[in-house]
This record gives sequence, structure tokens and C-alpha cells, in this order.
Amino acid sequence: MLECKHLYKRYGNQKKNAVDDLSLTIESGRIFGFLGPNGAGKSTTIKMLVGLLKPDQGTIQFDGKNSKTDALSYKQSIGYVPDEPVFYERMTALEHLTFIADIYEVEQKVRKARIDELSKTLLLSDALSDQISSYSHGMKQKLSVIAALLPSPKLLILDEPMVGLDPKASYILKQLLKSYAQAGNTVFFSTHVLEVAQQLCDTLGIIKEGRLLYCGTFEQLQADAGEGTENLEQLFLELTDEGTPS
Amino acid sequence: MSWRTIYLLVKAYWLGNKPIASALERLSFQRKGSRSSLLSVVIGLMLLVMFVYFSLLLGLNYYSYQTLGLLIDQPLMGLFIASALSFFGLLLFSFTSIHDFLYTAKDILMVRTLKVGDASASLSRLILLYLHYAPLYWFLTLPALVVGSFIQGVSISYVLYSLLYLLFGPILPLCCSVLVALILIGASRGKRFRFLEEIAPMILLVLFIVGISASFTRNLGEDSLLDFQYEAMLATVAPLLTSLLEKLPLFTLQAKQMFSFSSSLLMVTINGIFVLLTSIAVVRTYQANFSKLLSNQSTRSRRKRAYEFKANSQVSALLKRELVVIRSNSSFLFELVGELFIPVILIVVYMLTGVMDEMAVLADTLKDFPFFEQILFLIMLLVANLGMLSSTSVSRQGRMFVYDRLYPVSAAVYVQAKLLLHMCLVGFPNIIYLSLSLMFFGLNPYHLLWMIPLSLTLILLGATLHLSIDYHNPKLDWTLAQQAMKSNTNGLIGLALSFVLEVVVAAFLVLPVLLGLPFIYFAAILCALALLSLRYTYRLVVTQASQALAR
Repeated sequence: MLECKHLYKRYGNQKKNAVDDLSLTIESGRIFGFLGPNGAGKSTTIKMLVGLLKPDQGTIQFDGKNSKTDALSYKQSIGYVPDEPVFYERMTALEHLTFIADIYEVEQKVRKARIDELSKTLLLSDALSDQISSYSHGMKQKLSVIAALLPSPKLLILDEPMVGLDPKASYILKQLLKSYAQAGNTVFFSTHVLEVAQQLCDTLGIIKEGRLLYCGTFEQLQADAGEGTENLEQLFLELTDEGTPS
Repeated sequence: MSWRTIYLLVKAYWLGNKPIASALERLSFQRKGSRSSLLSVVIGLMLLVMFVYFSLLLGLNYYSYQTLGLLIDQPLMGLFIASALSFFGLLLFSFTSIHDFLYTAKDILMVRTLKVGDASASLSRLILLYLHYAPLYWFLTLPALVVGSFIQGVSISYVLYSLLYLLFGPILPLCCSVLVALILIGASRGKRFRFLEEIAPMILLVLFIVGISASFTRNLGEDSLLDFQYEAMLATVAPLLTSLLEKLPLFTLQAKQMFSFSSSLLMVTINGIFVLLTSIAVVRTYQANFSKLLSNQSTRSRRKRAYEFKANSQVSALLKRELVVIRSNSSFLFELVGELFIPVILIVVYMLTGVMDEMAVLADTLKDFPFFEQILFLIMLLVANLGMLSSTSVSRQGRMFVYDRLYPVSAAVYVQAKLLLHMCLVGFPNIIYLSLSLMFFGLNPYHLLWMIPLSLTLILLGATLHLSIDYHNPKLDWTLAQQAMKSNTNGLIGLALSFVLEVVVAAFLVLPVLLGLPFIYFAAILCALALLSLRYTYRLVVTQASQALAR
């Protein structure tokens, strides 16, 4: 279970908090969609979740492991797919995955099976021996997902994972995330594609100006909003007060 | 072509990178928002001392050549040597970063999508190239200009000619460097260019060392290391230098420009022609070369080999990763190979040129020196510690450093991997160099008993200090690879610290011999002190790494 309590983050001498008293709890086995307009604080929250930024206040815990006091075992439990994957371009994909397996101390017997399975699922098997510099953006995105899943993390955090993926790869990734969550793991992902969030997520979080405006299921959100609001896009625009474009 | 666009591009690069402000910020050893401290003053002073020391060293060398020149009626010899040395130095240093400057820097992809023509884009890059490398040229030639003023005294015309010399001097080597790079890109059609780029400066470096060593070693006397045989020099070097003055008229002309208006005008014209030719060549090939390099740099493996999924420890995986980072850029590779393998290159060159035989004769005399073993040890230690392997190690990772913050790896493991790499590339080869030196000079191998532990401890001590500097304030946001290494102030601070360490070690090793005290006790005390310091510097580097990873 992922628990964030009263998270605050302010950049430099900015007047406003980028994240302002954000608290949320995500049960294991759930897919959590994190939505919000540009500059709402999604990336800042994700960076705090993966340990890139330190919260000014508040705590983050996953399965009882504190991101601050128990940083290494916390990190061992999470996999992260950034919005713009960066690699050592002169490595081949296999070399990169071996490196990740070494860092996360994935057993020798397990790593080959995991790489085979994941690369087959994400249709990257044939390109694993190629240098990463020859990869397209979509291929890099797939490699990033494989690398994140390779150590079998309990919590997978993805920042805009569908960007750059072709429809087939996008579909495969959605299926992969579903089965991954069904196996009892937690998925936390941010997206601007509201359709994807509506289809995929068990729970939604909507953030604006650093504050969590809503956290719950789509059905709850629909019920709260009353009649006349059927899709997430409409609800999102109403909730974030951005107005429905005419 | 629009001059306004060129100006805007250069200005944008400058504002985006703030090279001087960034260097000063690092020099003051402070992070944004933190206060300056006494340490900043100490570091600044150390760098100043190092700068003055190397300038003096260069000046003394130019002066000796000038004196020799006066003896053979070639008074411009010092300026000639300075011109040649700075020409080849700049050519060598700039070569590996030409393609980065012109085609593959991180900001180029953005610039190329703007409404900017080939001419404006490429000329702005050439101007940036000049601005980056001119200071190195000035550092190498300024002492020669000072020494040159002794010939006829300082006058307004001499100052003006000096300014022209400094302003136009860097143009020729940079133009040559660019033209050679263009030829290589054209010949390789962008494929395997990185390999050619790495190998070409190596060849130039070896040729450069052959030239320098061929002239230098023949000046040494048989009685002492510091005894220059002026008679022999006059007999052997003078004809060589006179012939060089004739065979390399460009540098002769460059030296003459300090005293003659016509030579100065001719030099300016030659520089102008080179600038024009290089600009035309770069502009005309810009789009084609850009496209070639962008499309042909990656490689796909033709053979699908069975991959071994062998597990490694975290330290070993990170060690391999360090090598990948070094291999990721020609500038890193050339810089480190140059630093790490100079002794090997020298030995090979000496063997090939026959200098080794002459040195063997010299060795018989030198080994009877009272503290020759200590001097030998200090030279080897200096060669090992005067490097940027660890002081730019974190900076080289660039934006990939962010992943180190994500991995479930403790700061100590990262530090251990970096230190292990340092010992593999610097520490252990140093033992080989020490052993070979002892063998070569016919000295008793028992010296290795104090040399090996002391050398390893001091190299490790140096590495921890260097790494602490880089972890304290790594330069991760570089646009050009050379900003992470060659132009990284952390590297300079590291060199200054190594220099101080060398002085302290020299005091411990040489003073007891001079004072007639038992040397071996002092070596043991030094080793114990170094081990004790190592405990603290290791803690320091792990703390710095933890802070950098948590920042």
C-alpha cells in the first residue's frame, strides 16, 4: 500500500507550493491514474515518490517502507518509467537490462526469463542486441518499461507512459499494467489522455495547483457530480474549473 | 546569412551556459545560495599558484630556447617554439570536440529546427569554438610574449603586435582542426567517424611526443638531470632548430610578426584566408554532414550472438557503467587515454626512436644520486595524480546522474565503484611503472616494499579528494562534452589539490635524506598518516555522495 501524508514542496523562492498538503492512499492491486492540468504538480509529486525530490514536509511510505528513513529498500520496491527515458546510448538494450538487473540484484536464473518474457510481450525481442542509439522514441519507451519491470517491483510509477507508443504497443502496455495490478502490485501513472485513465484506472486522483481536488473511483466522481456529466473529460474540466471549450 | 542571427545564437549559447559565471561559481566552491567560505579562498589561491607555476615553467622553457637562439643568431627561437607548441597543442585538444561543437552538441537539435540558415548556424558554432579554445592558446603563448619582450624591450608597437598575435593566433590551429574533421567526416560518410576521431589525435599525440622527446633528451648531460649540455645542444639541437625554422615558415613568420609590420600584415592575411576557406567549407557541407552524423552514428549488430546473462555485483556493474560513460564520448576517451597512458606512450616512443639506449647510459650515472629513488617515486606519483579521472567522474555522467538517485544503491557503493576504477586505471598501472623504472635504472627492487603501499595509499587518497570535489558540486548540465571534463573547474581544483599533496609528500621523502635522517621511518610515518587521512577522506566522499544523491 502506498501512503503519502501531508506532502509539501516549494521550489526556490516561488510564492506558491508546487505540492500543497497532498495526502493519498493507494491499496495494493490498484491502478491509480494521476490527472491534472499542466503545472498542477503531477511531475513534482512523482519525483517525490521516486526519490528524486525531497518533500519539504510529509512522509511517503510503501508497504511500511519509508522513502526517507528506509530509502534503499523503498527504492528496491519501486519501478519508474520517466516521461523522457534517457539511456547510455552506446549500450545495447541487453547490456542496459543486465546493468539494471545487477543494480537491483536480480538473480541470474530469473533475469533471462524476465527479459525474454517482457521483451516478447512488448515486441522488442529482435532489437535487444542493438545499440540503444538506434532506437526510436517508442522503442526507448518500451525498453524503459522492461527495465522498470525487470526487478519485479511492487509499485510501478509511470509518467505519461503512452506518449510515443503506437496503438498496438499502447494496447499491450495497458494489458500489461492490468495483469500486473491483478497480480497484487500497485500502478501509479500520470496521463493527459483521459480516455486511457477512464478505461484503465480503478482509482483517480485529480490535482490542481498542488492540491488534490479529488481521489476516488470514476463512478464516485460521476455520482458526486450529478446528472449530465457522463465522461471523464467533462468531469475533469468542471472539477479543474477550466471550462468546457465550445 | 544574417549577422544578427549569428550574434543571437552566440549570445543564446552564452546565456544558456554561462561558462564564466559557472566556472567562477565552481571556483568559489559554493552551491547556489550557499555562502562563500575560507575554503573558497584557499582553493582560489591554490589554483592561482598552479597557474603562476605552470606559466613560469613555460616562460623558463621559452627563455632557454630564446637564449639558445641568441647564441646561434636566431633571436626569435622562443617565440617560434611557443607558436609551434601552441599550434599543435590547440590542434590536439580541439580536435576531439569539433564534431560536438559543430554537429552534435545538445543544443544543436533545437537550433536546427529554428528559422536559422546553414551559414548562420555553422558560423555561430565556429565563433563559439574560438571563444572556447582561445584562452588555452593565450595561456600557452603569453609567457613567450613576456620573454620575447626581453629582446628589444617593451614598446607600444610590441604590445599592439602581441594583441594581434593573441587575437589571431588561435585561428590557424582551430581552422586546421575543423578542416581535418571535415575531411574525416566526408571520407567516412559519418560512419565510424567516432573511431577515426579517437585514433587521429592519438597519432598526432605520438608524433608530438616523438618531436618533443627527440629534441629534449638530446640536451641532457651525463652527469646530472639538471645539467644541460649547451655545447652539445649547440652541436645537435641548433642545426635541428635552424632547419625547423626553415621548414616551418609559418611559425617563423608568426614569431616575426612581433617585430615587423609586414610580417604582421601577412599573418593577418593568412589567418583571414584560412577563416574564409574554413567558413566556406563548413557552411557548404553543414547540412550534409549534420545529416550524415545524425543518421550514421548508431550501429545495429549484424550477428545475433547468444547473450550471457551473467550476474555481477553492484560494484562491478557500476564499474562497467563507468567505462561505458568514458566510451560514450571521444573527448572523455582521448582526455583519459592521454592522461593515463602517457608513460606507456613515452616508453614505446623512446624504444622506437632509440632514446631508450641513450637513457640507459644516463641511468648508470643517475642511480647514484642520494635521493634518486624518492625523485623517481615522486615523478610517478605526479604522473598518477595529475589527472581528471575522478575529479570529473560524476560530471561526466551528465543528466544520467539522475538515475543514480533512483537506484537502490547506497552512496558508499557508488563511491567504491568509482574508486575501484581509479585504482584499476591509475593505481595498479603505477605499480607496474614503478617496478619497470626500478628495473630500468638497475635499482634494488626492495624499494618496492615502501613504494607500493605508499603509492597505492596516496593515489587512493588523491582519488577520494578528487571525487569529493566532484560530488560536492558536479557539472551535470553540460551542453558540450568538453564542459564536463576539459573545461570543468572541478578538474582544475583536483589538479591543484594533487599538486599540494605532491609537495607535502616531497617534503616527507626528500627532507630526511637531506638532513641525514633515516628515510624509511619517515616513509612509514607518511604511509601511516596517509592511511589515517584516507579514513577521513573516504568518509568525506561518501558524505558528499550521499548529499548529492539526496539533493
